[in-house]
Amino acid sequence: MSNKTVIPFGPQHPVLPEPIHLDLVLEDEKVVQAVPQLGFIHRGLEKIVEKRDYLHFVYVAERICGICSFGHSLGYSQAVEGLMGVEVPERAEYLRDIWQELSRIHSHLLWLGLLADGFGYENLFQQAWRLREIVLNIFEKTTGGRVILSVCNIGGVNRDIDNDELRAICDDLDKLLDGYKPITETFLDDASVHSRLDGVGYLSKEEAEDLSLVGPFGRASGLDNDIRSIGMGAYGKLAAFEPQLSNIGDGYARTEVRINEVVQSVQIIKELVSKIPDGPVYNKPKGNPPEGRFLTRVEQPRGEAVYYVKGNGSKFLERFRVRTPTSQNLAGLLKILQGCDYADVPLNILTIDPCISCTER
Amino acid sequence: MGLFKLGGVSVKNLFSKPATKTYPAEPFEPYERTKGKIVVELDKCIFCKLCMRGCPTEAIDVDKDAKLWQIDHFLCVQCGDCVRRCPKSCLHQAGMWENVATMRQCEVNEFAADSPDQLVVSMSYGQAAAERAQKDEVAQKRIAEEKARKAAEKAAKAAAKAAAEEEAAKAAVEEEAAKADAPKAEDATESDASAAFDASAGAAEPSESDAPKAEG
Repeated sequence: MSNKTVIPFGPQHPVLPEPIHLDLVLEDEKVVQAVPQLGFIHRGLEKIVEKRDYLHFVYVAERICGICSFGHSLGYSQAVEGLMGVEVPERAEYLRDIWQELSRIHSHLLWLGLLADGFGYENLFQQAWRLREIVLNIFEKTTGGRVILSVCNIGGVNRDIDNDELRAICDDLDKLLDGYKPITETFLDDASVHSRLDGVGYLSKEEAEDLSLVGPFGRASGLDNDIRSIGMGAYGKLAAFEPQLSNIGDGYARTEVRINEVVQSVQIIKELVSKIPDGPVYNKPKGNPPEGRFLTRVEQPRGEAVYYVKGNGSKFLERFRVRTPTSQNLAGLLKILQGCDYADVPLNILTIDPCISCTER
Repeated sequence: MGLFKLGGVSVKNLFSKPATKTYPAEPFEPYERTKGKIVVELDKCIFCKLCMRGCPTEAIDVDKDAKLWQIDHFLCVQCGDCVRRCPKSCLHQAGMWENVATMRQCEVNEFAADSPDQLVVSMSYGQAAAERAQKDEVAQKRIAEEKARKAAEKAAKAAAKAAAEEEAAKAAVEEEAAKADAPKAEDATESDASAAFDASAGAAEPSESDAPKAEG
């Protein structure tokens, strides 16, 4: 009979951006089982919706998470607009999708930095975050905030970006891609990175489908689960959209999918900037949300997020529920932790791109 | 595959400027839209309270009679709702935020009591504007002045209304007298009626001439 030991992982750990606790049951350096414990960052944000005017709640919704903040305000606004039947002007839809793609670029660069930090390559970590500063400066120039943008509102957006600024943004992103090339070469070709990521946390396509994985975690195993293919908002105006897939299924594949998504996002932004129409950017909603329910989906950097609102005629919504991508991927995390080496546990957790503050609002 | 793929970039970084800014030695230059502390121009403010209603955290408090505008900077989340709603555009977001305090405070903006053009900014400890107005002498004086002014306005309006009513009554009686004169000259058959009119006009005249003398 082999000896089983239980080692606690978290809630504080250098690789974790947000706290999660895992009890790892080990048998001589191999993890047999992982028992999760959540709740360290639960703030009861879904309960607050009953106490805050529906127009004010958008500022609470964008503070669910710092990395995917714009996506949450976008999802909430889309859900309430669908419930109330508010029409969003076309220019606002294009601007929203430009900000959402910028949000995806900055989130993936952040993740690349954390991954490099996870296997000890601090130089690469800082290089990735230096590139991320370009995106954060774009956010600050156009909206006023680097992380919490406060720009998406029910009925449109609060600020406009004029066309000269949009072209300047495209030039900045070209500079980003120039600096991005050496980093991608390191992640994809360097021998030390290969030795840490190859074969780590393998999931086949059938297992990924069984667990209904979302986001780049599922796309690395070959699942086509990108919500942008549906074509909501300005995504429907793109000439062609192909999600980035890979069929290798391990940690290296997940890195490759996210690296390619950054390049794809820059191309999407350029296409949207060339096609953006002129017009108003805000359409003020009138009255209170009626009785009824509405559900919408947004492709966050980590995967598909589902937003559900229920109104009852007053200015307070009755229910607001977010099903975040990490809460869906937790089952996949527990699966890849079974049978892995103890030293690979931090990297396995990082490759799913955990955003625990979204998971427990 | 190779090793040390980042070699070229690392060597370049050895000889170039660091990417970090040496704040606070180097000053921070915000962009035009950078969010920050909410600043009010009190001489343009009309105390309409639209900013107070729009604030999601209830950080702003306004008192119209005392002409106070107050904000709790620690409750403010810099959403910019108040800046967008102000009808006189007297609210701005300064691009800096350097707020260090050891106690919870509200920033109160009001005019000085003796020179109403001078803006005074003070710190109060967490009181709502109306409460503070009750306790503050300067604000109390301003409220009393405001009340007196409103009362005087009301009295003046009432007097003007009474005078207008008098005028209207006078004009109506004069009209009657004019109507009485005209048919009298033309119609002989209605001499009784006109005689009656005459009598009433005659009776009205002296009473009317008495009234202005009493007033004058």
